[in-house]
Amino acid sequence: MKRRVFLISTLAICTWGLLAAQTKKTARPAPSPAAQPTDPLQGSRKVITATRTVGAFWDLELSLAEAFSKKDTPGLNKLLAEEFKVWRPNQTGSAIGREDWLASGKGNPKPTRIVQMSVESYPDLAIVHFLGAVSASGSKGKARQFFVVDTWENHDGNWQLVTRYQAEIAPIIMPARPTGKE
Amino acid sequence: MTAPFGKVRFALAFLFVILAVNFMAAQAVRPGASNGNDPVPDDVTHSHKGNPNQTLPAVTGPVGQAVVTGNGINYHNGPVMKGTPNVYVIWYGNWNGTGSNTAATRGAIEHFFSTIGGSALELVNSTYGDTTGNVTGAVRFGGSTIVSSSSNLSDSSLQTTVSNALNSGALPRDSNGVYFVLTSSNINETSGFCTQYCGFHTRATLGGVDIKYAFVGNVDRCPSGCEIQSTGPNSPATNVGGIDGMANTISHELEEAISDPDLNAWFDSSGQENADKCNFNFGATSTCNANGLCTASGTSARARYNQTFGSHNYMLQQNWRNSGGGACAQHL
Repeated sequence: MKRRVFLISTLAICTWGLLAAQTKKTARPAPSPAAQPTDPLQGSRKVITATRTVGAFWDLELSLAEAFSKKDTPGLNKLLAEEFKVWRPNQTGSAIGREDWLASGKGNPKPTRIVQMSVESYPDLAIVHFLGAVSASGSKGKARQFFVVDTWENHDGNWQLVTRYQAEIAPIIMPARPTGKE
Repeated sequence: MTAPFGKVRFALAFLFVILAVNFMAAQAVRPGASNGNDPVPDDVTHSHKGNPNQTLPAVTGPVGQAVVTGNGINYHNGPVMKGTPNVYVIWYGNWNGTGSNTAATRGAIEHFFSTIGGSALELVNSTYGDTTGNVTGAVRFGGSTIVSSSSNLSDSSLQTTVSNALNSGALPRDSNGVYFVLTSSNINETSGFCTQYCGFHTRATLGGVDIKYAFVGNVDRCPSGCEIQSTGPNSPATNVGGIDGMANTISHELEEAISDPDLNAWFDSSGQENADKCNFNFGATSTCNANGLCTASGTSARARYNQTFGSHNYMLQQNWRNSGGGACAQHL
């Protein structure tokens, strides 16, 4: 008798547990009903279809970053104009010339990760801006973020970077894409 | 005396094991159990090139019969749009103008919406699902309204435009709908149309309902950025490619809005949704000929196309197929 009661109880618990698991197995419902006003200075969350121009200059910027990291001189010569210079906040307001910039080290970082690119495109000129990041080096290093504006010129079908404006910024905490775990 | 006590101890241990198994089973299918916050935070913007800062690692999806993973795109536990999603259009700007800003374009795009459901391209989306079922590939055109204006849009006024259309009753408030705001070429969306994007999709809670909406501008505003050919299969005249450029961006946003309506279902480790992974990737194409499926201008310009439905040819990017290892595909 006791054994029968015990078996029935066990069966009931199992059934309840499995049913409870199944009812939780539905897709997450739509987000909460609280309307979120759009901040005009931040824009709204959205998933964009990037323009073809963004795609093209994204590839150029990544090629440039790769040429930097590999010290690929032919690659750099192809992508960097002879008169290339970098403007960044410094003590004297001087631009940094091509050779000095290429020779400089950690104090003059070259962002390798790119997000939020936009391109203003003209027939032989393109103004590209993006957020660039340099990954943390070593266990004590910190990832750094830069706001970068590049001007590219079209020389006979070959786009070359002529000027870079670069300023380090306080790291922007990107809003996490919802994962469903929230 | 010892035998009954042993039985009780055995029974308690057995009961404990069963409870533990049940508890773990419940946790395994409910990965978000620890927090009940709104899963869609503000200000998430990413491009098709991805943004590792803005994404979190994919979870191993609850592998029910509808959720297939391992094809280069990950499931993040949000819902997809099932059944027959309704598409609504808000024609914003001046659509009684010239070039591609005409009533003919409105008719052509609405015909496009009316016939894309069940097409070979749309069925690629049926490889996506959530734990209660898959996308069907069906789409229904639910109606349109016109908002005449010469004012540019911002993200904020775009949302207001959608909200106004719902509040006025011009369009129904439909949680299984996707609302497209399509602007004439004199209208800019100042958050980055033409310099950053050709269109986008998003969602908002409007009047207590989860509303999915998208912006697509007339890409004749920036043909080099958003059109693949200056004269397309549906061009009304040479070098007026707006209809085909818009149709391409519209199909992109439609696939994504259906497979990732609340921005928490399907995207890869870089944040790219299914259509992002094939942005401006068209696959094999054919040339318009005089069979009546392209306009005279499209035929004359030997425009390229890769899809045919509703008695029209279209040049539409491929969509990421969530099966067979994953790939850009024109059809299943």
